[in-house]
Amino acid sequence: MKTNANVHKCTSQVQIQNLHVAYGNNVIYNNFSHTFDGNKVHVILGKSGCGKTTMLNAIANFVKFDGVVNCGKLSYVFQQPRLALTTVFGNVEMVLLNVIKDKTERAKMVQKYLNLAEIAPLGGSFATNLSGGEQQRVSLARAFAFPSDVLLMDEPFKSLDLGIRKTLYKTLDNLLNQNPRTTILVTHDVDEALALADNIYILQDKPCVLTEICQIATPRTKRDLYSNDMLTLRKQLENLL
Amino acid sequence: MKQSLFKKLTPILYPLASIAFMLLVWHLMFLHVGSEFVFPSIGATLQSIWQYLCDGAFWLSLLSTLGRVLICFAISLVLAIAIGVLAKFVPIVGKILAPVVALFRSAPTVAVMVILILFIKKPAVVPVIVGLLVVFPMLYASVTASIDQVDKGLVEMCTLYNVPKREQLKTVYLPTITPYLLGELPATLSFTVKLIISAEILAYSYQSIGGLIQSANVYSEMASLFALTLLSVGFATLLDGALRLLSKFVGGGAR
Repeated sequence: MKTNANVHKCTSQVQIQNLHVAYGNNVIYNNFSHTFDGNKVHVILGKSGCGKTTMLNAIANFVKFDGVVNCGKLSYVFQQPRLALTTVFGNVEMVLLNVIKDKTERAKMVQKYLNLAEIAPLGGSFATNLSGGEQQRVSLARAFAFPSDVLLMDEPFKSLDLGIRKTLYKTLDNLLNQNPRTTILVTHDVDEALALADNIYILQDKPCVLTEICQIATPRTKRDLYSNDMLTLRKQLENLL
Repeated sequence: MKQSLFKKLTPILYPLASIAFMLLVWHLMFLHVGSEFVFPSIGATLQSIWQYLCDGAFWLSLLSTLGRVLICFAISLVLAIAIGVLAKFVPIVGKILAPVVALFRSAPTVAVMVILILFIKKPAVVPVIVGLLVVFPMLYASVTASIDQVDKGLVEMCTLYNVPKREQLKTVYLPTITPYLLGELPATLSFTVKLIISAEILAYSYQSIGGLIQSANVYSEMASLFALTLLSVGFATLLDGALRLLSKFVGGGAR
């Protein structure tokens, strides 16, 4: 199978053309095309195992595929935080080593994102000794510190309890307001989609088809998830899943 | 109170009971055979051990064997790390080496020794070469297996974020490889001691533990033979303990 990943500079759109991904005889994507608009949060809802992560991995060039993917520089917040065996500070700094050569400037930049992700007091702690929520904050700080155009998020809050998830939604919103990126977040949590999305899609499998369900114009901080509109939308999404 | 004292002494009691049992079997065997020349008593063996410990020639032999063990182990380790890392990142090297490593891993050790003794007429060098040929494939396999333990997800993350190779080595590869490899090394070092002494016996290496065992065998000095065997076990145990201590120190410092 041939891999055709074309990475364009400075484009915040994500264009997928004629994507074909198969694991043996199991075809996940066949002739799949879609363009995600720039600087918006696109949330893809789908059942477990329907191909959500495969789409992100194709965009990140982690899986072999046929077709074309055009996008800018990428950051990725993984399901597991994937932190290196070093300090919180070191985990964020490592993605900037090839970006900012001056050590003082780099340290300032790391500190800025540790502050934004509300993890600065733990900068000197060993990253893998932190709680799940704290580790995901480090992962967010790392993703935003890296000068990317596109942010991929693969069910990053899946294993966290509701209280921590809600504080992380706020942190993510804060980071996005200060550093807008085209964000593609995959999840099967309807509440997460309603809290974070500008656009919500449903992904149906075998082979995968993406259907845009709605656009939410209300800013994330002003959303009332218990308003009539939101409750109706939630019901609609739950019926589709 | 009694129970907690017993619990505290358990780590010492079980090995002591095991040693006592072995000594009992030894003594019963001695009584059964009834001859110091065929099967030495515990007392005669201990006396022989003491004589060796007081003999300067024994210490020279021990140092010579220790030198061979350390040279063989160090060269094997350096080569295994260098070639193992190369094989993982340049797959063709791994593919070329695979049959060679498989051959030496499965070849009977004594057969390798005999062939080398026939071709290399230097008894002082043969044990080291035998050691290299047997120990290198073991350490090479440990190195490649330890690299396989590295989290693929972390490697993907580093690729995506264009993390420099040096930083990847420091924060992703070494923290995984080091403890794994340090866990494997003591057992391999003990095996190297046994291997080198065996090769010294077959090669008639001058001034070596193996050479002393060979002499004791030729002159049928059974007490000396038993004494040297026990001293070799003690030597291997000391080296194993020293390496485990070093591993703990280095492993603890890895974080």
